[in-house]
Amino acid sequence: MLEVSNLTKCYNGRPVLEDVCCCVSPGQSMVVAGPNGCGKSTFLRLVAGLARPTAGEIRWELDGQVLAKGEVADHLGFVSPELGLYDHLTAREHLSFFADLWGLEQSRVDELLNFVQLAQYETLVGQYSSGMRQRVKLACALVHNPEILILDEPCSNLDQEGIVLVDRIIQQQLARGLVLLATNDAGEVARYKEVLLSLDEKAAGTD
Amino acid sequence: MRRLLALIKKDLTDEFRTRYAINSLLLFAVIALVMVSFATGMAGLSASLHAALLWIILFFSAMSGMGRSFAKEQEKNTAPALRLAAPPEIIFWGKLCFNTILMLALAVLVLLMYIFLLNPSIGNLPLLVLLVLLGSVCLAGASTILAAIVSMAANQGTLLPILSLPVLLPFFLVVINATQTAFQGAGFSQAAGSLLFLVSYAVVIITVSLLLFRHVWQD
Amino acid sequence: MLWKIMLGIYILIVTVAAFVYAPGAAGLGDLSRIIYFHVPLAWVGVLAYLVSMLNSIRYLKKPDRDFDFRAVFNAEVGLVFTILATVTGAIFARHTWGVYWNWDPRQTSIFILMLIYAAYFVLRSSISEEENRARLSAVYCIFAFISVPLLVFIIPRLYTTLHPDPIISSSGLEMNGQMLQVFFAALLGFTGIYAWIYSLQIRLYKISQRWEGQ
Repeated sequence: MLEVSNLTKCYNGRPVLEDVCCCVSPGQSMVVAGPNGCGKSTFLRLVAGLARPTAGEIRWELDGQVLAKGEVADHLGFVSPELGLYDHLTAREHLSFFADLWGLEQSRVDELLNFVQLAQYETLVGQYSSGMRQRVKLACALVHNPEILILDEPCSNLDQEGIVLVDRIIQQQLARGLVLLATNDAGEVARYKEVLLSLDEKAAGTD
Repeated sequence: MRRLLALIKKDLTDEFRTRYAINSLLLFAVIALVMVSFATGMAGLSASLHAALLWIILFFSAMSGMGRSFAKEQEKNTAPALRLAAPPEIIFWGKLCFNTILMLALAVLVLLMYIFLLNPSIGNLPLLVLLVLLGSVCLAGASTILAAIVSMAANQGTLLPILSLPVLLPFFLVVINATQTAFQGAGFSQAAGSLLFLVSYAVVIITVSLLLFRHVWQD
Repeated sequence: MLWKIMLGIYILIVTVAAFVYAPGAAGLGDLSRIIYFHVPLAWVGVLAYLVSMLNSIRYLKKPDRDFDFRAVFNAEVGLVFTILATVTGAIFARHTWGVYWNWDPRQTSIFILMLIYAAYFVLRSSISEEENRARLSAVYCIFAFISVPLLVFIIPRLYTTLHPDPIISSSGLEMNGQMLQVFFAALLGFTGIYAWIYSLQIRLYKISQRWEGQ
């Protein structure tokens, strides 16, 4: 469960986010919508703990326990178009790397590769198409079975099959925890907007 | 421990597959050596000069190599995923080990080529080798956190030497002096004080880096 | 206001005393008078760095712009005093040992302090984002401090130095009574100057904060 109160973020004195509030319960999906540059990615990064807010509070709760700052990352998967990949590793090596970091077995790597349909590719990620790279990012975010999934424009660069994959991931995730989604696409907004955070209005509404 | 090995393995794999990067590092060291050898001609150099030249070349080789692993994470923006997947201390150890391995490899190469090109008279070879290896650990230890800082700033090429030199000066004072005595044939017992200093320096610098690293490794 | 004037008069008295009241040291003669300026300058240079470092630590614990500002201006003050200390030291070196510079460990340690300050400012100018700039320069300020005690205390133990330690401290301070008086008076006076500059800077900062608020 996520609770955000009066979240403010300034860069060099200029406010990018001001007094944003919202609340998301387990099993819910929240869409962060708004025009380009309104701070969607910044919001997601703050909530994921990748940046520090200038003011305001972010509270994550899991099974009734409040998560400390250092613990949040253990339960979180993050996908973003800005996120990079190691161009000189294969998809398998990427997943193995993250699996090792999380202390998981190699079988998990095979499972995920099959799930995102990349098992047959042995080439380096640098040679992948953008759609394939997006799948690698999705797989890496899911390695440790996180309860929280944060997706920044997940369907960018994906073909029809890919979009179906993302939908499946989101549905599976909702059974396990919650999903935060940032997108410009009206279709996605319509599909997942159980909770809607519209950043030009800076208030959260539930539909 | 497994996480540490995973990090090191990933960095080494990535580094070796970008063959141009390794090549440029090695070539830089070679060019520095050739320059020195060419400039000094066939003149016999004193032990103190050899010590000085050797460590100048090692310093600049370190400066061109130590910044790489952090610079790449920042450039390619793979850092956020890393931040989420492992605590900062583990990341630091991973980068430190990678930098140390890189530096040791560079140092061995530089030392071999130095002996080959400049033909110094070496009194105590084992001591010399020990000093170069220990010195490499110190160089990597001091520059790792600084490389992390530099990766988040502009002017990265020139900034790392600027930040590193004040921190490394005490180390250089001791190691150059000790290397000179090694060329002159001093025994291990004579160099004991310097060796002890180098070990303590490495311990202190790495400990403080560990304490401060998480403040650097945020956005 | 009053204590500023008193400080000014005090420094004047000390300066005159340095040339007139205190006798020349054995062997060095009038040259030793530089001690009343050189050492306090170096001392304030180090003191300013310590204060800067403390504020850097405070900043890392709680990211308040105030601490960052204090760290920076102390570094500025420290840099100026350190440059003056280096210059006075070099003048002394020229007249006693014949060269302006010879990498004596004590000379080196003040030089390193200057390098650290300079590197600190170069680092700050290389980071455009305010928060990152404050945080990363705070880390560097703390980290770079490691060199200072190493150079000041440990290395001179390992190697002999030309620095006039024997005259001053082989068995405690061997300056005679008058010299000691002027010496400590100078130390106090320069610390007073530092405190005065510090208070001026704080007032300037508070005014600029209020200005920005408007």
